Amino acid sequence: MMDLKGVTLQFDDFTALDNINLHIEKGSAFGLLGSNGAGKSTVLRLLSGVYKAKSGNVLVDGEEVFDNVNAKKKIFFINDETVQFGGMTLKELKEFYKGYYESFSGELFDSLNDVIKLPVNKKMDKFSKGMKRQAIVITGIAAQTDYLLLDEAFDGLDPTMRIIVKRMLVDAMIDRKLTTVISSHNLKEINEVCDSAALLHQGKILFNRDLDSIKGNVHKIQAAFKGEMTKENFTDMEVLHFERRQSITYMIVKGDLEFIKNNINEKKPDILDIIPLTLEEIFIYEMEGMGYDYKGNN
Amino acid sequence: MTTKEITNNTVKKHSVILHNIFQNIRDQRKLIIIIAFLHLISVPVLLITMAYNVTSGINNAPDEGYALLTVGLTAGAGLLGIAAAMSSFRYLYKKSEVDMALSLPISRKNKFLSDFVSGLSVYIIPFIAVQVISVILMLIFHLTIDGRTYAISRYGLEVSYKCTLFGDIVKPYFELLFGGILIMVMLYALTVFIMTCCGSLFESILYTVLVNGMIPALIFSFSYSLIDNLYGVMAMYKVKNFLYFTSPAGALIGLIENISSGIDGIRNTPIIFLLLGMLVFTALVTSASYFIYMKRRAEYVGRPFVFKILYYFTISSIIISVALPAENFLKNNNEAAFFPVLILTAIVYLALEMAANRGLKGIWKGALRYVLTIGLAFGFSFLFTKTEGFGTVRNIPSANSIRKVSLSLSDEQPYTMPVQMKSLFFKLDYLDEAGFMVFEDRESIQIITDIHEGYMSVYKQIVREHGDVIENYDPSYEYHYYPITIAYYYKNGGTAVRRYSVISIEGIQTLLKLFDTESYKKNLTDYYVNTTKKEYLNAVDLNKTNGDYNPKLQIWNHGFFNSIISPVYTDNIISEYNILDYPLSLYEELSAAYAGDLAEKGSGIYDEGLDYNFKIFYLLGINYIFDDSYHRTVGVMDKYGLLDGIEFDKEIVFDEKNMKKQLALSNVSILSYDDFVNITNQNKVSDFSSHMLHSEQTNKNSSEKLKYLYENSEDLLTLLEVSRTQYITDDKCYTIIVNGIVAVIPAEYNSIAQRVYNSAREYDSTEYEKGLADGLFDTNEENYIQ
Repeated sequence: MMDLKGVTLQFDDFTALDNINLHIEKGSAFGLLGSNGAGKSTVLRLLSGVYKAKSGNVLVDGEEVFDNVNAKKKIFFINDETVQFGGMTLKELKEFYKGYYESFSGELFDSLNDVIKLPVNKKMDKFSKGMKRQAIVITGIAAQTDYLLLDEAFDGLDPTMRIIVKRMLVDAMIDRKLTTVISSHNLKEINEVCDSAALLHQGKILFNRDLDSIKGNVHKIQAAFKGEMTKENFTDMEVLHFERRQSITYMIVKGDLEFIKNNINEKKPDILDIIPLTLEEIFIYEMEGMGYDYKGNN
Repeated sequence: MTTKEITNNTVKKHSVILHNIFQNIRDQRKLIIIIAFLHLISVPVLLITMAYNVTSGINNAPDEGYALLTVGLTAGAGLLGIAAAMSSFRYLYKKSEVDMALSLPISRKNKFLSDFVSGLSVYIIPFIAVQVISVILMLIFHLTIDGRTYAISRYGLEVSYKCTLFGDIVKPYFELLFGGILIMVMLYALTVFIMTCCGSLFESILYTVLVNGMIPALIFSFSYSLIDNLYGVMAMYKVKNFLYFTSPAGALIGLIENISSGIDGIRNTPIIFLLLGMLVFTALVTSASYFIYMKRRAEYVGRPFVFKILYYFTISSIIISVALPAENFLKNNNEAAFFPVLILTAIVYLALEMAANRGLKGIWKGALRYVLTIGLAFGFSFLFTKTEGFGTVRNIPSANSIRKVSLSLSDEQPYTMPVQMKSLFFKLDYLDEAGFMVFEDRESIQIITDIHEGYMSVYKQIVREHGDVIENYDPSYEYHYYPITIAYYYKNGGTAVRRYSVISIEGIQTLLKLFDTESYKKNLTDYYVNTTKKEYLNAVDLNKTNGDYNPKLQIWNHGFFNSIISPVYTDNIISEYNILDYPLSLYEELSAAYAGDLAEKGSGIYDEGLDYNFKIFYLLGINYIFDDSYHRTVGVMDKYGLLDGIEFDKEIVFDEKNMKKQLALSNVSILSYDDFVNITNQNKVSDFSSHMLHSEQTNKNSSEKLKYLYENSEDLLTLLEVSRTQYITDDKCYTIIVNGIVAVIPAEYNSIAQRVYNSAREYDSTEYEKGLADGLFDTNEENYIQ
């Protein structure tokens, strides 16, 4: 498992992470969500031992990660850059990482490449961005570390390749209980791969939850009442968003669906519809509920 | 953890380090090829050209231009050490690389060390490999290194063989090679240090260039602007250790000076210290790099500076390096120095501030720092000058703290003490390679510090008369000019060198005490008894081998001034001369006696004249000049009958009846002061030998010349009696040279000397004209002088 305990990190006057607490279970697929500059990449760099926290602890299986070879052996970090491998061929990339990771499997690398069929002896600076991403992802999987950290992992991949790469990741998670931490601002991708996620905003974690529970716990209500209803009429529910358009009231409500239904029915609505929410909508309304303006106005 | 597990972990750790090293080297293979190529087309190609010329018999010297190009190519390849460091540690300035580099399962310590080693290998290994190739080429083609000497002359290539594997060149060659490698390592280590302090490629390159240049520039600036103005202090010696051990460029200067002739002939930094200094520099800089590397954070990548101290150091150095010499220069040439310097340095400073801050941000802080820097620089300059380099000028070392002293005296006045003294000390092996007299005994060291004390007294007198501190005052206008350089070598390894140009005649006479020391007496004995004995035995052996040596002595009744006793070869014996056995015991006794006489005389030798009946015992290039006052020597000579029939006195010498005996007169000259000083006027020297030349060539009897001598005999005898072979004066005197022995005629006899001189010149001129008219002389001046 990976833990960030009370981690703060500052870049000069800018607080990149502010007293972050995060727990990632071993064998899980964890998503880090957030807008640009939220601190997702910073968390991954802390978890991979690239950055050192100014205060707090960054632990992998109970060990501090920074400058700890034993901990770092268990982690493979794929950042959002691809240019650093430009001078290498795929074969050289394999040899490069093979020397650092004892667990690296050349056979697995080759078998994964059999699927995506990247040229082995061609310099990677001739590769497209997507091809480079594929190359480094299969390298990360072939390293067979306990933890795989991916920063904007699917950036640049075409839809087909996204499916293939996700499949590879899922297979690895199933086969050897690989813990994956994926950062993205694309909720759909997180939704497809991860089982839990944290939402970062301005260096803070807004929430950290199981995705199924998130999805099952936030509901979009469309109702029409005889009288004029305001948000104050629903104080017994956790209303993340309230909006009236003519006679129709739209609400995003967090909580048990039966409880919400009963609560609204007590106010005798003429119409009551429960509309499914996308994960993106859930996050936007969650943030709004916490006082953050999703339009970026804080 | 079991032993097996520990062993496995160690092996794995090592394999990761090695993997990191090889991976880095592999990444930089293009750079390796470039470095190797540059080295390959420099020295090896030059050697092959030389070898081709030697083996093919083409007497064309290698193109001098290519030799220069070789230096340029090697230097170019040397500078690529910066590229090797930049490449190995690229993740320190390249954002795209930092995540990959620092997330790898290798500790920061091992990452640093292996990256350091790999970059260094990329840089150094091609150089070493090419040097190995060069040595092999030298050995194959017998160029330089195996004793075959190779020279370029006007006739082309000249090759000679010494038949000794690894000749004299080997030591300096390997010193240069090893020193060169260490300088390369220094450059590499310094670049890594700068990179750890910077976060961007631009700053890394710019500050590598600036720091490499600014360290020596700062030292030179300090030396030129401040130390050079200190009376007697030789700036380069004061700063050389800072220069040699603080930058690759300085170390290169140190290495070149060490392998060549040192600074002004003083090579007082042994090569081993220089090499050790380079190692210490590298170790310190690498340790600092490691420390900063371990402290620096990945997020600093992209910033101009990670540790701004480098920036402050560089920018301050630039300002000081510009301000101090500019102030010094302007002060010497223009009274209003302050504002131009201020404006110039302010422009430089603010330009660098804007570059570092990427704009005008923080410009006010920068301006404040500038004011502080310039204020400190000028304040320090003022303080340094007013305190005479914090007391350096007046500091006279205690004799107890000195291990050895070397002394150099000016050759300005040819017949005065410095030249003679140098000659004497040279004979006794006191001189080092650069011609400095070296003293290591406590007594001599004390004498020299006393002399130093004397110089200081003169200086203090000048200061009293001309103000508190002398700046650019040339005291030689008011005082006698006897430049002297004293180099102190402290017991603690330090050195101090002083050069003074002012001292009273009494001051320099103090140096005579050096001839009264126990060390001098011991060295005299060693020289005459041991050193020359060895030479004698070697000569006997050599001549025995040649089969033509007969250890006999031949006595030459050499004119009225002296006799020459010299060893003789069997087939060279001239029957009319005395031939004596020449046993080793004679030699040993004579040497010991002569050394004893000289030791007894000590500095008193300066009170002796050029006796007209002195004798010369000539052996293996060494003259034993003595007269009757050398009672030990005369005793031995008498014992072996060496003086039989060669005694002359005044009456005999100038008795016309004995004139035949003077036929052997070969060289008596009288020179005016100007003749002696100005070598170009030597054709005007009144040289008696020219008469001999004339009379011999005309087959005339020498009676005419002898008549002339006789007519002037009283004056000549007077001059011979009063002349001094050792003499200290700052008067302008005549000089008399008899058979190569130079003696000074004290100034009070100038009128007699002038009379003889004029008379001789008149005679000389007449004879010369006659000779010319007869077509006897080669008009070539050189031949005439002979």
